[in-house]
Amino acid sequence: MSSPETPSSDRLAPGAGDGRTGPVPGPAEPAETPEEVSRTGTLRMLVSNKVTAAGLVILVLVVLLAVLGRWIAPYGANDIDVVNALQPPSGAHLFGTDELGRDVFSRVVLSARISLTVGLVAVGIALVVGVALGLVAGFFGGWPDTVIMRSADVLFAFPILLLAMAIVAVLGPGLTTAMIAIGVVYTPIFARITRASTLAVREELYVKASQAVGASDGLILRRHVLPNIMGPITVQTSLSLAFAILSEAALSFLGLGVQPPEPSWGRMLYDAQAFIYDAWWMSVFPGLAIFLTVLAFNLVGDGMRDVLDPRQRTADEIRRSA
Amino acid sequence: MRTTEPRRPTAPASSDGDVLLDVRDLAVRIGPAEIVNGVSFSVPRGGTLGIVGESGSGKSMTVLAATGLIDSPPARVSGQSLLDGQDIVTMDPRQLRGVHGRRVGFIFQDPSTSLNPVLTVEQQLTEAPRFHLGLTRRDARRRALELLEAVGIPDPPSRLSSYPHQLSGGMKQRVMIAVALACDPELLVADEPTTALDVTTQAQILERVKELQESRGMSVIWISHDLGVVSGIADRVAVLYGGQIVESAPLEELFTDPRHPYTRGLMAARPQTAHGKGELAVIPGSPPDPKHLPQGCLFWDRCPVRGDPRCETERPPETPVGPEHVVRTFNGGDADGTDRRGGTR
Amino acid sequence: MSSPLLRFLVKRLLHTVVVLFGVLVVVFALLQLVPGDPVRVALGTRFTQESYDALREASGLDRPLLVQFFAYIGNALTGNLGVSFRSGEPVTLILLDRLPATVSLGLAGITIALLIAFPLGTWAALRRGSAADGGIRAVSQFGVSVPDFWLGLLLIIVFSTMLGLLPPSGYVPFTEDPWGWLQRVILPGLAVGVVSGSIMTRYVRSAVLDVVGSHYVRTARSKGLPRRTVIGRHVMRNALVPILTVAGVQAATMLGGLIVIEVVFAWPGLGRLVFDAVAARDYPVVQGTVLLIALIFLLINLLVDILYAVVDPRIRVS
Repeated sequence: MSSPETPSSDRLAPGAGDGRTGPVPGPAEPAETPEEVSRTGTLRMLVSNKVTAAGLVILVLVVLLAVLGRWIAPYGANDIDVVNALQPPSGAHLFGTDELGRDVFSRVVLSARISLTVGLVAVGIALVVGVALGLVAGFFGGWPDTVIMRSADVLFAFPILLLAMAIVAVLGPGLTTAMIAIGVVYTPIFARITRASTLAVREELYVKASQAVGASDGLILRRHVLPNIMGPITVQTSLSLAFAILSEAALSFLGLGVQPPEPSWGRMLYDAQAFIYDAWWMSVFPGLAIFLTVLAFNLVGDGMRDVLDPRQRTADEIRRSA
Repeated sequence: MRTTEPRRPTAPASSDGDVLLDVRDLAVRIGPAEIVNGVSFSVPRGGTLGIVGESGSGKSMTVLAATGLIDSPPARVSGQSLLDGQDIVTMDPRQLRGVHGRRVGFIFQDPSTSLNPVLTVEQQLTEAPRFHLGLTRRDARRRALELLEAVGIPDPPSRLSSYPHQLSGGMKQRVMIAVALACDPELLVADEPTTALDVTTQAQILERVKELQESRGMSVIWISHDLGVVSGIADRVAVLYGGQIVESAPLEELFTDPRHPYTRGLMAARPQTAHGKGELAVIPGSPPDPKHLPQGCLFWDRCPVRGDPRCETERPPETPVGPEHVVRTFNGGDADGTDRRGGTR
Repeated sequence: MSSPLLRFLVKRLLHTVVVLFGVLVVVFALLQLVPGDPVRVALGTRFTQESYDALREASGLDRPLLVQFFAYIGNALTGNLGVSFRSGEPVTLILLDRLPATVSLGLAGITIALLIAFPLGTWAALRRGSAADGGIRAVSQFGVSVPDFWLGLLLIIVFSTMLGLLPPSGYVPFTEDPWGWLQRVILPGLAVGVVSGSIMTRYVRSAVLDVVGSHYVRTARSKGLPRRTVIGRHVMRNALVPILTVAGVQAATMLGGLIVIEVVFAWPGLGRLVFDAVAARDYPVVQGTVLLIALIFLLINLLVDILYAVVDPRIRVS
């Protein structure tokens, strides 16, 4: 990894509009110099931090659930058994049953795939579009930069969930809409981070030197700019996955995301509201699944930030960006 | 600690009452790092001690530890630092508050970061007198005006309401000096106060501190990486390397008869102008890593002499080479002052 | 007022106006992007030709796009946000009716968030590396990851169902029954405040850490001032500058959280309103709410900028 560049004045920007995924300056406490990183290897460094390792373990479990869910779940997601409706947790139903007698454990397990898919696709959209826009803005400057960044400012003025709701209102509820809506909402964050890193790299002497000897823009982008933004982008991807999953859960909770009969954690919580006095297990377990998944992505994201993006966001940089 | 000579040759032969600060075998460790390794010196009342060393030599740590302005933990401080016979090292935070700002004033290296950006000059200048001396707002204000006048700030009344960012670097450092002197301290600690300033301002600040010291009878510890700057103010100089005093002598003696190869290197690296910005990096290499100090002489790997077989295996002890002159080397420490450089290599 | 402050504020105001214009474009575009005929979609099973024509004319949808756009902006600037597809009421009136509930919940949430973030963040920073620091960081990491609506459900289960201490939902205006309001605002306020507070705790911690390590705090300590003076006067005031910046950004998170929490707690504010409107495809109400919430966000950030200038003399005076 090349040496971290001086962050541009936009350091804070990635967080705007979504404080949750923003650069939380506190946890960024670089313990290692970049040289040490390349020597020990990123993965080893990640695992050497116990907290990050715990996040990785949870993450692997969630992914296993998503992939192997069908074989792990003892019941189908929609196996209705009205006789055994609203049963508290027991040997037969680890997490109890819902109002239709469906097995909450099975539904929690089977929802993992949906949640991860929505998260991955949404962040994938945001990543591709955001990085492309950020590169254009940062590398070419001028009016494309102005238009792109002002548009990002505008999108940041809407709370994430509200914007997603508005998009759903237009396109109609459903899985695809949810992915598009969340993708759109997270695009500006990637655009801002990419632009900031690109601006910093563009001013570097070695990039100017490449330009001077006639290297094409494409070559410079591939050789110098992309490798430099990989660190911050990777970190942001992990953190965004966490909050994309949260956003999907919130949308589904509001009945605007994943639609029945497809099981989803948010939707399960929506259904659980009506039985909040009688069946606590319907509320507790799906929420716990969301919480642990989001926590895992956050822990891993924070761990990666310490390793890959070790520049300290000092108070001064935050101040300048205001 | 490694250095445990019972005698303190660095202290001038003055066991009478005119020693203000008497530091004995001071050591500082932070984790595995041995930052200060048995430093002893004393500051006479009204006198000025210059402490010279390049960055990483432990000079700031030494003085901050001696004056109790170091965070402990994480730092572990041992040895003694007697201010009028009271040991600062063992003081609790409450006792230290009675020393800091009241009996010992501090000026730091970078005036642009050492003043609080969100408070006015008046707020920063009056808080210590109001706390320590119990002055009223009005009295503290009057005192602040006198102080600004004393440090040479033009138009003090209008400066009271200024914020630091409205002042030039030199003005900021003058305000810092005023802050340090606000309660009439007996000792002024100046930690490279002129390094960040241009040459002219540097000279003015130096002159101003000298005047103030004489008019107030205050003692000064002046830390610098620049022998030239120190020569303008100190009566006595201690050269620090690897957290040890490698040579200590009265100012003239140090200049006319430097004994330690490191001191000689500093002399050679010094530009001819008295207040020029001397670069010490002319001696190739860098100070030892405090986490992995060598077994022998700390200067060994950079030493141009290295004549003695003990150099690599033993730490040279402090050796007196004159009534007030000590040096820590196996080479050049002879009382006759022979330069053995040619003979050994 | 000195000129640097004025210049700063004018600059921020202009930026706000530019963003607000963009917000209006987005909000206007919402209706245009609805596939098919939004009025027909909105009316759904209630469709009759008369009601369709009436609604279409009332919302100006029969006019050319650019005319519609400028009419929308002109109307919006004069406080006319159209009429609800569902009830026919002016959207502005509906919004004004719902605003107090959201504001009161938002204030409760911010208060709780600040009560969490400032003490914990400062404490963790001042005892960096200690067990307390580790504990606070862990708890704030949990708080950042917890879905706020789930937290709301858990709070209801524990405090209403199990302990029977507080009402599970509902709203009483503060002006009518302060005590009743307080009882009902605690749980939703906690659900919003804990999440925002956790995020802010991390910012406060790092801001305080930055300042504590600064040279001017060393200067303050070298004056022998009592610890509480050093922290209160020198550390907190400076830490406030970066904290304020993130507080403005956090407003968006907070406003987003309010929407879903209002749904959980049946709190009749803007969040509940937009939720119902989205379900009913009442586009003018969706547009109006989105616009109002974005406006609130922009105003909060403008307010933060002003506070900023108050705290930091480098902006106020040159």
